[in-house]
Amino acid sequence: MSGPIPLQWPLALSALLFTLGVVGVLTRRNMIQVFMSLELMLNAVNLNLVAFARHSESITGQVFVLFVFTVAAAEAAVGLAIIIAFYRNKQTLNVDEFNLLKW
Amino acid sequence: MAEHLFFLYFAVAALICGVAMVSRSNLLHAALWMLAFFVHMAGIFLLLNAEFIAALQVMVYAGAILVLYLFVIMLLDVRELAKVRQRHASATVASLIAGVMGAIMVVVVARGTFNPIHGAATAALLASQGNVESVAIALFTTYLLPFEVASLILLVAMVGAIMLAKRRL
Repeated sequence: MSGPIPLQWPLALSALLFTLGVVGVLTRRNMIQVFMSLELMLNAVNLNLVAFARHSESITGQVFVLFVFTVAAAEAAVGLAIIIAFYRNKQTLNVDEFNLLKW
Repeated sequence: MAEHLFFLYFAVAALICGVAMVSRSNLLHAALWMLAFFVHMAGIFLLLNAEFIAALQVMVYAGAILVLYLFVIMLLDVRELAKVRQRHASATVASLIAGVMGAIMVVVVARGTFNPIHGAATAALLASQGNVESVAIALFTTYLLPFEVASLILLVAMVGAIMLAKRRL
């Protein structure tokens, strides 16, 4: 183990974290926790971008992470506003009850 | 060597925090595990020559987004939330499929060989010029238009969030 950290390490960690996020989104029923798992997946993607930015000796990957941050912040704000509006109407956060558009 | 040890620590800790975050049914506990997860991810970014991203990770995620989550959790009735049955009927199948997908990704990454690519932003240049300066130069020259569009996205999100959460307009 000498030299810089090999590219495979962050990539493997990123794959594991992304899988964890997918498991969270698929198995949790609480809408807030589904959103938290989404943040986990976004972070895994950011890790991939940063790792490849270092590997390819380019700053573009890090600039792109900034845009991912922007979208994550917007997603969190709008998503949590939707959650509040939903809770006000239905008094629950169960994703299974999120079926207002079904007929 | 020390770099590798730190990376292993941050990686294992981030994974543990992630698992705890996904598996807790108490939302406040999950949010606090998420805070620990974000901070450990910032440490990993620091090790990968992305100091600016690490600082932003702490400020934007651990600062702004996490506080937003905590506010919403505390606005809602926690006793009511505890009644939500936590697991789907098909949770096992879903976890299995996701696990197989993750295992495939890890195997592909571990068996792959990555040829070195040589670009302009070498580690030596980043160290002498500074990471923030390098990101800023790219952001305000090559990526100026996407940067401005990002501010527009934030404006739209702000207006949208207020519109959605307001009881009556």
